[in-house]
Amino acid sequence: MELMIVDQLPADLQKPAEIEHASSDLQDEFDLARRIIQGHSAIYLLGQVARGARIDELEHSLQATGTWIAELEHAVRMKAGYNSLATRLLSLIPDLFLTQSELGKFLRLSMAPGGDRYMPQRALALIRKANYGLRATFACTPLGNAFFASSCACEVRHLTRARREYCG
Amino acid sequence: MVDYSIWVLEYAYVPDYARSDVIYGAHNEGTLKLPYCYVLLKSDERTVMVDVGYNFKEYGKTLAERFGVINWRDPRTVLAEVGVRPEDVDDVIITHAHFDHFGNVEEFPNAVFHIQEREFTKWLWSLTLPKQFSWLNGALDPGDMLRAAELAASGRLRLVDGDVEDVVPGIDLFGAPDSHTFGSQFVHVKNQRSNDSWVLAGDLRYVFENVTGRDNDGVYIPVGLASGSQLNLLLATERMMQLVDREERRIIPIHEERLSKTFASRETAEGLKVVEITLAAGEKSRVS
Repeated sequence: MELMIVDQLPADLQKPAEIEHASSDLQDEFDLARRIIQGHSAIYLLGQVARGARIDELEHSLQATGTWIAELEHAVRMKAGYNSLATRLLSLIPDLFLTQSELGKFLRLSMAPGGDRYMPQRALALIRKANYGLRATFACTPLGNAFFASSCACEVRHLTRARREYCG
Repeated sequence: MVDYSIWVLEYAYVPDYARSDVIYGAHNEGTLKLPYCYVLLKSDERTVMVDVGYNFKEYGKTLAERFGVINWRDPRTVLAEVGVRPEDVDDVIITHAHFDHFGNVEEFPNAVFHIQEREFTKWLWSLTLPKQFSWLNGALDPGDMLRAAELAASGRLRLVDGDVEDVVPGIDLFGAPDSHTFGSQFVHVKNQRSNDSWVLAGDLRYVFENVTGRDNDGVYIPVGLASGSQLNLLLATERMMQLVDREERRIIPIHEERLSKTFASRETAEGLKVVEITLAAGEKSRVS
């Protein structure tokens, strides 16, 4: 399924300086949200098809994503009063919790010995929705533009920065 | 017994890529042209791709602008140069999950994808590390993982664990864990009728020098970019060399611009290269 980007910012974020400020204020929260969605996707994926994946490992990962969602909710709630991107990010939190719950059900029911096979289509739909929501929230912002891409080239950038920071 | 024709198909390129990123330690030695390619393998019965490039619908434009990737062409256009359509592809082997190898899965609606399980399990593991390790995750985005999840949901994702003999007839996979990425793999094509053997290296060999040495002295030099270890890259290189009886030209680096001068090739109307590595009996050349 191809997800569409909403190419429209809130009315109070139409000016470049405001966009830059609002998005740079949410760097950590943005990274956290990305990690949560990646984590949920990976748990779903490995739960479905991996042979070597152990339920305890996946449950451990799911506990981690649960902690991150709680952290994210706390952080964006603090900023929602003055940062409209944070308000939009806050609106994604309920779906993240729902995904968490669906994946927990999936792990308990389908991976336990003798358990029924549970097909978590709802979890996948929720992950898609969250991914769409995150991208739509940060479309046209410096953060949104900066995160694109898993790439070798992207790694180069990180590597170069790390070399500069740690190797002088 | 099965024989495959092999073509390396360029779909975009970076005109100026730092040499130090393709050859470990080549600092302050300027840039080179870095072609972005995938590989098509075709037998009488099967059409297989090794990697699928990336798409231009989501992040392609951003990538192109930020990293200098130019002249991107879609798989339908690129594959047409060798008479194949994306829907003809039966299997796709993903050497690793970087965007320029795994970013275009939706263009191949009938293909089953084969990738190392470790590539995903270690992704998940790296996500759970503290923030100071986040460099490991810099190359990931939710879209990559989600696309893989979509493939799994449609029953078209096969996770493999280490080496696999005859993943499809005549093609073996070899895991290279913790090398270029957590779960890279390379592909060994065993053309049995013609007793002809080729290795498709993915990003375990970027350019010729990674295997031949900088002065053609045979001293392996790892690629410049790795989240695993240089030692594992060297060990993978040795393994590839053993598979081709130490005939290094049989280890195909897809990011090597000079490949088109080493094998028969031609340039398309779009200015991209089609390189013909080998032809199975009865198959006609696509470059002459």
